[in-house]
Amino acid sequence: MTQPSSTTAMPGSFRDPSGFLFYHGDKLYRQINNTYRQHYDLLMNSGLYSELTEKRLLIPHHEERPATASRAASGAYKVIAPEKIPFISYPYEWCFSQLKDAALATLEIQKRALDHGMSLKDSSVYNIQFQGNNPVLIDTLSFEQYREGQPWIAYRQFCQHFLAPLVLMSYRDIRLNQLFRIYIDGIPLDLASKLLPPRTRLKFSLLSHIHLHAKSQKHYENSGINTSRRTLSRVALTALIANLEASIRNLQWKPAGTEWANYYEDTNYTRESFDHKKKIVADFIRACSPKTVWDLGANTGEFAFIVGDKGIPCVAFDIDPAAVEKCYLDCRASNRTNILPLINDLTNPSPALGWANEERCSLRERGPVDACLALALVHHLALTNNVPLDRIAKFFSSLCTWLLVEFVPKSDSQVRRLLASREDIFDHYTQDDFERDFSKHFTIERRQPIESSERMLYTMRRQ
Amino acid sequence: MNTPMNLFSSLSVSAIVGVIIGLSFPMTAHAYIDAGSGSYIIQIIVATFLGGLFAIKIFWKKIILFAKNLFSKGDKHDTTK
Repeated sequence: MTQPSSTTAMPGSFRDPSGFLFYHGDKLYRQINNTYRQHYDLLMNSGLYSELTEKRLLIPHHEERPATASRAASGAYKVIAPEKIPFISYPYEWCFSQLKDAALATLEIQKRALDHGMSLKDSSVYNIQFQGNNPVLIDTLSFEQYREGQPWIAYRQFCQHFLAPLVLMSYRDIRLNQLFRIYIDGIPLDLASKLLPPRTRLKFSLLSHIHLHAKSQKHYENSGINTSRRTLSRVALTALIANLEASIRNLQWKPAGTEWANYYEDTNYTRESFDHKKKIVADFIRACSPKTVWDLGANTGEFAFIVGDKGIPCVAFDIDPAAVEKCYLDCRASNRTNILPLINDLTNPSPALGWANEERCSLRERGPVDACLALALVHHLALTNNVPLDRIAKFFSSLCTWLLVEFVPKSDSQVRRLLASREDIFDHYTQDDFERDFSKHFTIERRQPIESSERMLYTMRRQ
Repeated sequence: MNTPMNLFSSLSVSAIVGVIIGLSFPMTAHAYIDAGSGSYIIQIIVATFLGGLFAIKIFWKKIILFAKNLFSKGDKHDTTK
């Protein structure tokens, strides 16, 4: 990720007056303001911080020495340096189980916070990031002292940021997590209520946390209430958290009509060519020794696993939520911690979002990386989405230094299938055109035909 | 459009809200995010209901346990005779 060289506040860190994030050089710090002193000290001294960091639920940090902390702005109590997250991802890029795990982690944190006399004062989905396969809270300032009788301030945010999108994905359509791109503060509950099927009203938790919640919001939208007059017992608050947790645990999603075991076996590879392709990927990684890799069309992650198993962090992008779900579940089951599976449509990659388009980074802003894999991808971009080859090459060159890219000719059965229902207007989709257009941005270092196929793999280096 | 069903639901929510307001006590809340009036109210209603169920469950378990103990003591007493 490109970062400013001098001391600069992070553009997306401005809502909470308790403190803010800033970069000094390429190092990230968090300033804790004097106004948050009491809560921060309680977090550190109550045993909550050590318990949460030990359980990998909260990002660990160390407190900076006064000399470093002198870079802080006025009103600073302390400056802390949080552990670095390899890649910042967003909920519109997560699969179902990633969002579900993030929701359960948030509730687990809230339960443990209550046990230590604290409570989460916000429950933004953007405060959760993935370290390995663990969803981790990255906002150390999300805690406040719990006062007996106090309801959960972040209940509305939790329902909008976690429960509503998960219920929509589970009961209506998996693609509805893309609503996060439009609604920065989570899915409006009246919208979720309208989109959900009537049968969700028969479940108490969904009736109350979504449908009646939406009605109550509508009912009180123009009338403020005196919150100082209303309290909630600890037993009731604990029961509410337990109910939210049970509701989320019960939510499931599987691709319709398929079984995970045989999902994504629709390829035209022989075992021999598949193994040969794996060997070429391994050779490529060995040759360019990248620090980080993006697999731009990772499918269920077979080739990304080769990268991750060498100890190199790899973000495994795919357009298909089902493929990303399977990749994530496989990584979790096999404890592969170097792979981060994410949903991304390369024809419309994640844009910069939020206030002044600066709160959430675009995909390109989170790069470039040392190396990219673009396996069995270019024909989809060129033939399904009509993107000219030179534009594909230019885009790839903005993402990486080293590129392993596969060219699939028109004679290949998968390409024939893509062209079966449309007119072939792609006179310039040939191997010669491919090499000419990519040579404008990359130097072709190596050409390797994949055994038992008509496909070719190219190792390229950005010019 | 307000259908009779919607109107009934709104009235029901209002009635439950009224009861809960009456049962509430003073406490100040500080937060930088908006808890939302409607969200605040529904949270108190739902949590109070769930907390009540939880209390009944605990109470019921205690009654069952008490009854079991009572009868088992009675049985023991019989066998010693």
